[in-house]
Amino acid sequence: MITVSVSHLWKRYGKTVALQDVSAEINGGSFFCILGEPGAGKTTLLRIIAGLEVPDEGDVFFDGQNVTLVSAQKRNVAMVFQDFALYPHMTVFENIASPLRAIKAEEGKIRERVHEVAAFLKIEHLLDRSPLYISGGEKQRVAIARALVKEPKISLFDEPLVNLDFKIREDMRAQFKLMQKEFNQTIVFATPDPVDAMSMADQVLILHEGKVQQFATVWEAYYRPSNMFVATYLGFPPMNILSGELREEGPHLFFVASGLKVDVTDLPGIREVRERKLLVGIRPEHLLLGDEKGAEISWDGEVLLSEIVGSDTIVHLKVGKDLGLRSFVPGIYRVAVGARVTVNLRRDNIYAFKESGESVIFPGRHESLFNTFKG
Amino acid sequence: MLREKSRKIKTPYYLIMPPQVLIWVVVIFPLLWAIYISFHDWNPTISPQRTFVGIGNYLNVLRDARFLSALGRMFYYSGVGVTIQLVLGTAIALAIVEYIRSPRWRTTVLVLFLLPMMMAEAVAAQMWTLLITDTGTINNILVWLGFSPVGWRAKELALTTIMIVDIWQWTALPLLIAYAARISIPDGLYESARLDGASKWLILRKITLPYMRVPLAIAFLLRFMDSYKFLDKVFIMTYGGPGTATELPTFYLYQTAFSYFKVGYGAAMSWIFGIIAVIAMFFFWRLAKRMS
Repeated sequence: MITVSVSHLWKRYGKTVALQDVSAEINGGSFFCILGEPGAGKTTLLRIIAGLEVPDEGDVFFDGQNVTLVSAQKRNVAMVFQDFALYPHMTVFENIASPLRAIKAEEGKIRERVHEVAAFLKIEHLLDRSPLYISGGEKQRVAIARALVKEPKISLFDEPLVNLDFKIREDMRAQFKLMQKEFNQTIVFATPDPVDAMSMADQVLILHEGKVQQFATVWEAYYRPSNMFVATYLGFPPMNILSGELREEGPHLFFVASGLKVDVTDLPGIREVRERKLLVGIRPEHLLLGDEKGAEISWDGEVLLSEIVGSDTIVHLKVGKDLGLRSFVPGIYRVAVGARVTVNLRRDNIYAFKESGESVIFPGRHESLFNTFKG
Repeated sequence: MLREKSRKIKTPYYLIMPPQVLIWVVVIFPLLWAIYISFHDWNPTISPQRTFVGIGNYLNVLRDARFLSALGRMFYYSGVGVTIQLVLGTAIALAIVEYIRSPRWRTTVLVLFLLPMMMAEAVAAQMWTLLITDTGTINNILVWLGFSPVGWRAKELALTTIMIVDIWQWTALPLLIAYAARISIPDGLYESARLDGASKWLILRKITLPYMRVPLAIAFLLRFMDSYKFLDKVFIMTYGGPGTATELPTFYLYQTAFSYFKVGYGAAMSWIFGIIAVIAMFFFWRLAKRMS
């Protein structure tokens, strides 16, 4: 288990800049997620950590030692590729054994290790098969087994769940977490899916177009997003964004956006905001429908559509003058299209951003509140 | 109704009739005719009379020292020559992929290697015949470099010389096949292997070569078939000589049938030569099957 740190990494491919000044520290034994849309630079960062690419600028340190120019062969890093990269001409057993064969381990030890890892991942029955004739989920496990078998210093996973179907994905998330504990691994996990990050990661590095947006714990990124990109990216369905302005009326301060007027006088931090034009963010899960006790803000809404997602419901609403909002209701919530509902919101669940996207108000601002979230 | 049906059944046969007729006339009938001829002693320049000799011609061919040594030369020529072409072609292809990164340079180098292959066999043979005479360009260069001139067309060397020319011309084919096979191997496998800590040698042995097995087997087959029926360069460069030093079965066969006009004997020889090819292919396919 080692601590990996990258500092001021730059990588260009021709005219495209894949990484711009990326720095992060990955603590030994932690589950570290690199989160970003396709093309954000996740894979490039993983490949630089693995030693498959050399950065144009910047350094990679393993336990304080600069390994930027050390070849992949000598880093003892394991990587699971998105397409698994299993050797098609070898059996599953030989695939898993290959890292041990490369370091010329004893035959007895190879058998023991392969069976141990295969048993953990429940793929012992596949050992004699060819990787060409097993399912995607099974290939995935074989690729993971191959990574685990050599007891690497750090394991890198490049979007390992995207090629799997929904059910297996759910299953694998739990497996990853278990595996990390069982084998006491440092795991770096690149994914475009915020759900992966939120369900597994201790720390998350959010990339967008090669730039670090935020480097924090998942909960910190959720409650204290550094900007609107992070705020909308983390969370499903994405945050509602209302574009409007602050208006002073006597001693009161209101946020006004297309027919909605919210009294934000008491909102902590609002007095420090210099900008009049603001973007206000409300997470769908914070918009509660019906007669909510203790709601600080209530609006009348009309149901446009009610969409059942898995075992939850997303209600599309029209509020104020033509303002579309989405509310996330746990469980299956039956409501007729066109029905009038009351939409409630607690004031401390409000996020606000400058027009540039920078965060100015977020729930995590209230230190005490944030601590309870951190739990 | 019935006529309609029978017409339907016949139509496909009408459609394939022209090529059928052609194949029967130019392939199957001559083959059968050759079998018939092979059981006879016949020299059409002396008389139209054919004497039935049974399997006498076949027995004689199998006892014919000249045929057997030609066959031996063929196996030396094909075995060594094709193996060198394959090994060399593969090595060059791997080196191109390993060391030349820019696509433009890769194409340039590949085209350079392919040029000899684009040349007509006869042209290449003629060109090399001029280059390797005792006072030819090659020997002049050797002398200029301080070596003694080489008797390229001497008895001991002539067949090897032809083999070298053939290697010069045809290494490009296995090279091209090996190149295509190599670049179709996913990069991920190599990266995976590098992360496993595998050495270059191990990667070559465990990934590259196993992956290229089938295409290389096909390259071998193509080149082997070509060298089996090989005639042009021998014909132009040495005409089988000096003596019979470069006489391959194809050349001996040609001589027997069309110079000495021992037509029945030649037909028997060509059948034996053909059957050897079939047996060779049979073993080859068994091997190929086991490989994949």
